[in-house]
Amino acid sequence: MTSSFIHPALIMIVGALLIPFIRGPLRKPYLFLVPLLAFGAVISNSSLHGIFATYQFMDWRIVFGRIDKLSTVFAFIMAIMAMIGTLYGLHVDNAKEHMAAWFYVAGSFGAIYCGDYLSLFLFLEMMAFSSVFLIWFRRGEKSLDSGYRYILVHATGGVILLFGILLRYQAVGNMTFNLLDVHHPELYTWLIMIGFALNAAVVPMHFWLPDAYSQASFNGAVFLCAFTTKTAVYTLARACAGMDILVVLGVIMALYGVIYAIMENDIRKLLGWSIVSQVGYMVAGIGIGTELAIDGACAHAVVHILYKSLLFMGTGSVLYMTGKTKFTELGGLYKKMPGTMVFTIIGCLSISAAPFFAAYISKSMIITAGFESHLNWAAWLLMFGAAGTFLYNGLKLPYFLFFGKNNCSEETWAKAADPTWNMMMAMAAGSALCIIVGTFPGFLYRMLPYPVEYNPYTVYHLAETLQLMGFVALAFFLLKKYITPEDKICLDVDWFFRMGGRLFMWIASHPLQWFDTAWGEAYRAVGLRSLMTTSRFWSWFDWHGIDGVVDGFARSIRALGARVRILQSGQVQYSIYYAASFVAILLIAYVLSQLS
Amino acid sequence: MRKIIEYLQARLKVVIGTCYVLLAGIVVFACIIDRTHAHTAEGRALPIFWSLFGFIAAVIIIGVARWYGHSGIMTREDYYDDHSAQDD
Amino acid sequence: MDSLIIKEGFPLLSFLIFFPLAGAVVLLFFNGEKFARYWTLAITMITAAFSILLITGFDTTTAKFQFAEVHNWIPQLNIHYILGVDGISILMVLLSTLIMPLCILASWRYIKTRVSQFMFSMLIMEVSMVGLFTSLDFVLFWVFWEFMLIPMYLLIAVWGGPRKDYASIKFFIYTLGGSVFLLVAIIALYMKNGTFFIPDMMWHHYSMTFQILVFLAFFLAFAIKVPMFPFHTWLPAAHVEAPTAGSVILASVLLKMGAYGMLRFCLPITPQATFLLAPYILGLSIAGIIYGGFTALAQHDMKKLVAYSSVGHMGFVTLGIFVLNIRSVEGAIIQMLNHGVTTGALFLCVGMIYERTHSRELSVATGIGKYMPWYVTFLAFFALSSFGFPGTNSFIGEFLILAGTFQANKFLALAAIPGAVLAAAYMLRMLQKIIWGGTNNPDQSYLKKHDLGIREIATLAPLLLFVFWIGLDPQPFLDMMHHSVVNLITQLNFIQQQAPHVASAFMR
Repeated sequence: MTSSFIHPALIMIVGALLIPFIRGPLRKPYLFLVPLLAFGAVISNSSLHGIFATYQFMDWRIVFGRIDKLSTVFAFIMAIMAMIGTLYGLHVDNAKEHMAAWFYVAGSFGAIYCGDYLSLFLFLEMMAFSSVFLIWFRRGEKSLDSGYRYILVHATGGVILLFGILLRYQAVGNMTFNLLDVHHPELYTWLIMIGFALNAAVVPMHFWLPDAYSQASFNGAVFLCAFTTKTAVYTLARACAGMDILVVLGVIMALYGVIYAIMENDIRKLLGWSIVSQVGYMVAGIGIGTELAIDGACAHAVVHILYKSLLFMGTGSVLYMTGKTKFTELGGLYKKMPGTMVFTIIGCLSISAAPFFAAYISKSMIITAGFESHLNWAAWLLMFGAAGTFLYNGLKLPYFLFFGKNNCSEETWAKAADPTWNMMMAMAAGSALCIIVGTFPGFLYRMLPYPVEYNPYTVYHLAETLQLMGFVALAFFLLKKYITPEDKICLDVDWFFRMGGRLFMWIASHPLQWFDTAWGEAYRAVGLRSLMTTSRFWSWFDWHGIDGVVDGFARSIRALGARVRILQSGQVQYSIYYAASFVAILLIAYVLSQLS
Repeated sequence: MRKIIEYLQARLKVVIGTCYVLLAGIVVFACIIDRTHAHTAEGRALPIFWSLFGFIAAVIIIGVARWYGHSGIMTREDYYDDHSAQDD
Repeated sequence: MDSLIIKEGFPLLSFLIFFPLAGAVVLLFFNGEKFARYWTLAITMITAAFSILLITGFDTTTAKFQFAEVHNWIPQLNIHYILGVDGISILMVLLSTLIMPLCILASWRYIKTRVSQFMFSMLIMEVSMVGLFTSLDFVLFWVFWEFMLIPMYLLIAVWGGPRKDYASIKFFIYTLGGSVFLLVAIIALYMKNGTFFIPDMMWHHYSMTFQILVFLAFFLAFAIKVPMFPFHTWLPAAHVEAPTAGSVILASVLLKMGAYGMLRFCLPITPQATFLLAPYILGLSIAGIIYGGFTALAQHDMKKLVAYSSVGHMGFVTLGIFVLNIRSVEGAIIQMLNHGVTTGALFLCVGMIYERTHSRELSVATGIGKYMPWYVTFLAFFALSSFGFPGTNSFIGEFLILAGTFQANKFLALAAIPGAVLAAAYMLRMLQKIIWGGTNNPDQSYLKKHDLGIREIATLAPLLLFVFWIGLDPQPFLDMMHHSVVNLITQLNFIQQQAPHVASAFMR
């Protein structure tokens, strides 16, 4: 244990526990300060390299600080995200919500820095259980149900992961969190991969994401969009790099998300599908496994955090001010929320990989890596998906939200305005970072795990991107009416679970309940009654039976004594008479016994 | 910001015209640049490859989404709500 | 005398016996109420503090009697004043001295009339309890045995409930009836051995007839005290009518005297008779366990419920003793200690409710959990302990007893299990009714401001501490008794092997 390693999770946890005690005007500066300290810790740790803060617990070696480039780059962006997210929600008065968010962040730090599966599992569970509160705190009518589904799915994922970890421990003999043997996968490899993949919302275990993130509170979603999925990407990058099936799954995710996002009416659910899609790129990159691909996945994770949080902040502002999240209830908001519009559009351009904006420098890394590894089919499909990304996220979202037909009710229109200073400032910071990273990628590239020889700013790349964007935009404007949002929901894989759940509830409340009631009646009528009857009998026996004998014996002695008392007349002659008779009887008996 | 947008909205025809000009400019730009470093054979062969790719991709995506949605995936808002009498 | 380790210097055991007596004498002269309470509390606490010295000076590696004192008393009749503790009795002495201050605290406001006489009786009670567990001369033992009847009688008869006359007389005569036979046995043994010194009477090969008669005499006296089925009927009456402190002393210490007597006298002095008659006694124990369970389940008077639960618990103790192997005897002794702690605590709890509601009926105390959270927390832990919940003290005792029983005879262990289940049933039933009740609870809101006070928490907290200490770390307690028990059982088995012909000669 070297003293120079400071675990930012510790800072966040202690900070969270102290929040309720910091009140009044001190709260806002405090809320700003703690993530800043955590960020400082991450920066300080980035100069270190190796294993720190180990702890021997029974047979296992718990490693809290494993620092290398992969963990540093993720910790770095998470710390930035913690600052921006806290700034965005600075004015929220509910201390518990801040605590939940910070525990969530601490869990993420813990998972990123840890070096063994045991603490990884604990930190991932910590993340799941604290993030669910960010959903519940919205207190919307659907938030409760959505949060329950979220926690059920994550708990199941946790169990699968634990199963994999334990099987692996049995097979391998240690808990070290490193690259699995992906080319000879055993059952435990699959289980661990599935556990991580669920957190990363890999299809078909993705359905919780749009559901939960759209029901979260306006600022909770900003945290949610960044931490769970990107920590999962980190874990996949660490343990499953090069696993071929991930390429397939990643591509499926990328395209699946696109299709559903096009159909979606809720602005934040659309962003949830966008997360599924973008994480698909990262997962595919991890699956490809070459140095360029892993670098691309990491870079894409970093920029994704930046622009997705920016997008959630923008749509969160709309939610916060108007209370509405559906395209069919919004539209034309550029008039009343110009600042939000600008920031959101910057986010949209970032996700669409427009030149000088964030994803320009990362998405193409993955695709290039795909082509270089001769996985052409994957690369083509990912490009296809990129077109779709621009379509729903770069065109549909800003057009139907800020321009287009104004579906706002009068009340909504009256409420719409640019939000509070801290929210605007957070969005401004996010936007600035998106543009800076997009324009000067060198800083990010230097932090990536493997040395980067890729240069996104080639003329060809520029031309390719401009062509793509231009003609997708053309198609959009020509076919606008086919893509107009409708006030409907989209069914997904979770249909099976939700309907299955309903069937299960029916079985529980009808046949099973009947049986249980009947059994309970039998128990009460037969079992309990006979028990109590037996008990009452023995109690009766105790009093009337045993005590009848004992007390009866005592009573009869007393009665005898009462009879004998008569002999005590108090007169001397009678006493002498009785005494003399008694002695005489004794003497006669004695004499007779001696004779025989 | 609002003012800029309203200014542009007032001159919508001009804006659309400008966009078409830009699009044309992009096509020209694509034709004249060096294509030898493209990742794929198709990219090297056809200058306006990505324009066509983008347009066709968008059309396919919109079509697939519409077909998929209208085949039953898109449904009413309260589909999952519990219609039994009990209220929670 | 070689079984004694004489204590040089400060006579700790005599001090423990006579210091409360001195304190009691003072109370005869100064009998103000307030003075009586504080004085008695001080005396009992000092006695308790000194009894801790017993632990520190106790050698756990030997089975000899320690802290021994030998003085002449009536040399003409060979009666001497001999005291000593070994592994079996030391825990009982400690139980007696440490529970006394808690009883005094519990009686603080409960006793309102003749307070100084009450405290006097309590101190005399302590004298006789400690004396009984430490005496190694039979006459001395018998004196203390009889001696403790009087204060107990007074406690019930003067400060007891509505049927105190009936209960106190029944207790007195019932116990006295048994101890008459004890006296006869003592004299018979004297005639055989020429001494009243108890260790000298042990491990002899008396004739079988003699052994059986002596054993039966001992057994009757002790079985009434324990109490074993069917000699138990004085217990519900006495417990119900006695004041809280009286019930606690009765349950915690007096019942243990019977079991102690069995261990100290029946087993070593009449070993072959023990082996011969053990099966019947085991049968009576099992009957007691199950009978106690059933009758407790039928009660709606809380004190009676706990009283019948004592019958069940002591059934386990006698079961453990007469299985006659090391594990079960250790379990029995630990269970004696545990029962003292737990049942004493339960009686304290019932007393606390009685002080508030003036009724012992379960229906009056239903649903108080909402208004008295501290109280029901303590009650819940003691109730869990009462039916042997793992983690509490009784679990250790019952486990050891059942493990030892299982070793000896599987069916016997299986027969005892329903008793454990019944214990859970009646305890949980009582707990459920008291804490939550049902939909028709009486209005208990007047209890809201009457949750446990500091004094009451101070009374219950040490007991809760022991519940968990013994439950989670019983090793120190088991260490104390281990050598004495091993010595006892080894000698028992040895003598059984030596003289099988005596037993077989008696077999029909």
